[in-house]
Amino acid sequence: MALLEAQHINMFFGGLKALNDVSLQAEEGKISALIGPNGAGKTTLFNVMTGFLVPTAGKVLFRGEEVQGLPAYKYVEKGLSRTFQNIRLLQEMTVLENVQLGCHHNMKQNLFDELFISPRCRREENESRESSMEALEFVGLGDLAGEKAKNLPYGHQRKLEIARTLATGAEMLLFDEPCAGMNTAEKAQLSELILDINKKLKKTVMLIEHDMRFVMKLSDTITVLAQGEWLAAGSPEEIQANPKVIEAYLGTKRKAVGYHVGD
Amino acid sequence: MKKVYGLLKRHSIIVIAVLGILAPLVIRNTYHVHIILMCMMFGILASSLNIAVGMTGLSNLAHATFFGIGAYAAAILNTRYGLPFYLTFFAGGLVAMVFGFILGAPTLRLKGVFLALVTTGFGQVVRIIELNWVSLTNGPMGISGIDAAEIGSYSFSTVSYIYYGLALLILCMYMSKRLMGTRVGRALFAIKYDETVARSLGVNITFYKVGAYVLSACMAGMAGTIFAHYVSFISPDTFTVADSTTVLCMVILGGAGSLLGPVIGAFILTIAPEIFRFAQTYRMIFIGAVMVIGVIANERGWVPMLTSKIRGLFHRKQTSEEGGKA
Repeated sequence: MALLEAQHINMFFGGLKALNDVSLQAEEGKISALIGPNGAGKTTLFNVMTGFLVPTAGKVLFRGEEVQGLPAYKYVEKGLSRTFQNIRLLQEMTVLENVQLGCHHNMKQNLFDELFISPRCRREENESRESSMEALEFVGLGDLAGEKAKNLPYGHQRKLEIARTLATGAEMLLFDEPCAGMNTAEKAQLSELILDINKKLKKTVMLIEHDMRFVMKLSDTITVLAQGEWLAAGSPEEIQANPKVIEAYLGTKRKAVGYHVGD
Repeated sequence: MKKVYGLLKRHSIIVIAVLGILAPLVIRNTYHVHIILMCMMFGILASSLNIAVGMTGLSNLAHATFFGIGAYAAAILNTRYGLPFYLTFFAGGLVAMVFGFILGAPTLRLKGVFLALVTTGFGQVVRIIELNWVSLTNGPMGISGIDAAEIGSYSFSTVSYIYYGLALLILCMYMSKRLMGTRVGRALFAIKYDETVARSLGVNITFYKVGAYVLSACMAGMAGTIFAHYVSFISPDTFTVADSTTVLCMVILGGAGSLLGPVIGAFILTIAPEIFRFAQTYRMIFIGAVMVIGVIANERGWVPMLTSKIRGLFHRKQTSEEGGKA
């Protein structure tokens, strides 16, 4: 059964059709990828599926339940957590605090618990600290917990964002271009990390990525968008062989084909 | 030395409490005692405004208005219905909370300058209501003859007002301290730094923004009731937009988002104009210039800047000692 499903999504901004009748499924326990040339509507679709945009038409189903139109902060309670294309960390807060914020929705304490240091407050703060440290250690940032987020190097900031989604306890994680701006070694490390998240932590992952080698290596299924339209979906092999995809990426000249997609 | 500093920093609330308790015992001059009380009032205002401005990142140029609303509520309830201080105190806080909600709820989507404008407008509207709703507020003549605060048979002296204000100030600071580093405070800071992230992590930003306004308004309103019973006469001129601006300056100059900064800022900006009273009107020009330069030179505020400087000093000393040993 598909864990997350978008059905016939239309997203219009005034006269601009950012998404036109796009559907996709993400199978539970799998890694699926969303690819397409710049301006294809990948991030828009992500925003629709995580509640940051309400689709003009169409449905978003999570575990078979309609979630479109819910306020964005409810999605994480349902079990969907995301990262952003431009790294969005709370720069002035510590690494640990950034991750602890991911536990926000799992905690029940209110202002009065905090004022009177109630047992619930103490227990929840300890639990959130522990699970956040666990998430940090999983991505390999355990010894940087006390640093301010802004002091981390770029690659670590990406990992921190991923740790934050892990701390939410969500079963489905959506990564928007997780390895943008990374070098080859960092990318290799990150793909290991994402595989671990999928295999060891049993999380369902969906990612947007431009690096084809990265996508082909990681994904179980790939969906291709181009200019706001659904173009193709299938296994990495099927996508690589699909002439429509090759055309969308490279135009029709044969010469260029082997250079990008076939690599 | 480092240990002493660390101890002072960790227990800064206790330091303020001890200073606040000792000050009226040492200082007997009525004029000085009045200034200490004003320090407490502005300390509460700055510390509570810090919850909205420093922690949640909402601008608010109407904080003195909430103080005024609390004071008016106390004055009206006391002079009309004879409610004693221990009831008007909570009533004033409640009324200010309601107004905090009225201001907070419709302005949620606004940010920065727009929010500053709307809150300024709110301050003006409340002032105009105070001036013109004569049957309720007695208009520009103000309300006089507010009873001195009493609890049981004990009637407040100026010093007891100070201690009452001090207790409220300590409550404000304690609340801020508890907020920093727990769930609710993290959510507030997340809203300040990046609303989108806060939403994506399950923070109901509507709830927390309104909550921050309501909470800070409540504290300001309670302070207002103490003030009303203390001076026994209030008028619309007591709580102006200029006062709101001053409170905002205290927060920004002292260090928005820090625990001690806004309170120290309040103390300094309350005492400085009194010290420079001999310079008459020139002192406001001087203090204004200090504010401008202070903010330009250091956006973070002076208290956080100084503490990090001092920490750096200790750090350097330590490393050079280690170097010496090696």
